[in-house]
Amino acid sequence: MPKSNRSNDGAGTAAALFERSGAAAYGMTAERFAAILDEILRKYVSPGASLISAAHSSSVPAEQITGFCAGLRLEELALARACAAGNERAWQDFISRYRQKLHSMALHITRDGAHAADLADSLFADLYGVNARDGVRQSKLMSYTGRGSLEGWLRTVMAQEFINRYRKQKRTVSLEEQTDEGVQFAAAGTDPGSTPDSASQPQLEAATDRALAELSAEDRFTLAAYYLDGRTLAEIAGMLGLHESSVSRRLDRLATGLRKRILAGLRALGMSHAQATEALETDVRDMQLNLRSRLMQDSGTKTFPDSRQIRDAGDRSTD
Amino acid sequence: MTEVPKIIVNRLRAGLPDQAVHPEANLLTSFIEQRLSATERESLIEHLALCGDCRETIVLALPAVEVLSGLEANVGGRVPAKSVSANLSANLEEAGTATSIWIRLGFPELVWPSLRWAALAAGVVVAASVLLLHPGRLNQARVPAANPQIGTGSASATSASAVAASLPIAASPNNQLEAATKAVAAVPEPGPKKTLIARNDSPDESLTDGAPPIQKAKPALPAAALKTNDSSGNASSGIDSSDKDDDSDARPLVTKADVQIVQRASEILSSESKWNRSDTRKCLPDARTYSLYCALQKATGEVTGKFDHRGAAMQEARFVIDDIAPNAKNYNHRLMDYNNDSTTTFPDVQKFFGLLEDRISKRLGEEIQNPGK
Repeated sequence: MPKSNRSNDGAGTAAALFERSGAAAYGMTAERFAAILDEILRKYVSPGASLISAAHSSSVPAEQITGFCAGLRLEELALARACAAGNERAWQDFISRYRQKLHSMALHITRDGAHAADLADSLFADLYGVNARDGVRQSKLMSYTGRGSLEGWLRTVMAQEFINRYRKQKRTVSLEEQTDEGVQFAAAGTDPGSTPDSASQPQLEAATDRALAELSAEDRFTLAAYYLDGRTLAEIAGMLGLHESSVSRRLDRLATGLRKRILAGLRALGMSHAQATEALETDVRDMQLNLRSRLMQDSGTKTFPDSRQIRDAGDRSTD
Repeated sequence: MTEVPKIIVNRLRAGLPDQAVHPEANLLTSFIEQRLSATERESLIEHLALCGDCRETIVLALPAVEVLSGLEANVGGRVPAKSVSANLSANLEEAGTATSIWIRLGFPELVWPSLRWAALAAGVVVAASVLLLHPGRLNQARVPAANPQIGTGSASATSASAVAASLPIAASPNNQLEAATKAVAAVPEPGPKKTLIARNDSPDESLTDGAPPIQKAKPALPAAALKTNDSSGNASSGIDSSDKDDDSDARPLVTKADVQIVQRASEILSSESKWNRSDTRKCLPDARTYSLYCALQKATGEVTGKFDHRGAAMQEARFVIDDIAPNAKNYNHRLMDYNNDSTTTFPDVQKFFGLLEDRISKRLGEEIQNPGK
């Protein structure tokens, strides 16, 4: 397509997207909105991608650019960027739509009224941009790109903030407090999770590593979420967009498949079938332990509390 | 859930390096809302497999409560992290609505707390009747085809009128037990039993087809529970399946014949004009169009001379659908529902067969390398 035609098409598309976004209601110009879209295109599609400037986007098909922009949450993008720019009406809309939701989200995350209020207020301040740099407010809403819903983005940002806080808070917890909480400290040089004095251990590890490496990322994610993080089937299903029963089946399949692969790997390393089975079965016999607590003890510090524990604990935000 | 050897957990953990860079909130949100491209999703999952912090973020950022009616409207069709208790309470609420008709009609004694004893008695009578009439077939007891309302999703919608219609009979004390029996049949169960019908891939569709969304949303179940409740097959569609042994998770060993079955099924569905988009799993011998299920059934018959509803090719096909279908979570009969899903295109069907053949070939290779495993 000739560059001039393409440029015209791009301008037409930009105008249509601008109209769809309702950005004009917040006093945003079409040029400013197009510049925002270009910034997002450069970030996700290609460094040279541009909605209007055909000269800079010749490497990216126009359909791809148009399709990408059309898939953005344009109205929410306009609202967020108008808020970041300090538009009064945008803030009124934002507050009426999201203020109450922010508090609900915070309560869902922290499970504690006081912490929830603190977390929501803190995020609200970040969104408003209280930290001025060179005299200009830096609103967190500037980083919203419309790829997901604004509400979902707020929830994610809040979750990240909560995790950061938790991590910082845990760094300052004293030894006495940890001991009071029942945290045990593993002796240096010992790995309570390993089978002691096992001649077959290196081979077992090698075979296991190989079997794990052969899995897809999604399978490893599923295993880690279930066996390391202690996530419920519902939570994993929620993360992957699957049904719980599919996750259940997948985990069963993975467990069975891994066992077979490890046994095959051990045999490839020179073990007889009986030896390989014995090596794996020996390891299985002491499986009846709380893996989560062992994982916490192994690291010497607690990571995040088990979400199932938090939710069971009601008012306690941390364990 | 199947336990894994401790070494697997240890090595999973050992393989986790500290992640210095984390994906931004926009990407995590898009992941949760199923809006990432395949490449982006794959890349993000690579990170998530290694990063506990981001997995934690994702879980915390999942929407707190999504009502059942919002399932269809949910962005990208993602399954909400809805608790089992939410399911149960929704069922209870529905049941409560249905039973309150008794109060409105002036028979408060027939609401659930009072009715439960009558229901218990009725249950005993029904069980005794089944034993007397069909000795030795208790395990196979199922809803009679003559009463299509029972066990179908339409029960909740029609229960109030059905109960109201039977009211004059129920008002007579002599007929109270009979009325209670009818009421129990007509009113949706308040407990979790209905929701235990998690995914019914077996041939009898009477238990799940037409079920409202509330029954399609299922709680987490142990594998054993799923297996128990997945068995409801019959031979009405010429499907060879045993009630007791029907296992929707079965994974029989594959053979070369299974590869041939898939290849033949793919040939049967070689063009869109041959594709039947409205599968009922009733495969007629003189059909000119074929659904996924019927193509596989026909191919199986041609290759092996018989058909097994839970044969290796059929089962692997269901697992492929589990993994590729965006709406798989809503399916009761994976092959039929994926086939009939309005979002499934013919190119999807072709890809499905390609993937299925690859998987079976791969499994075949593995099984040849490790015989007896």
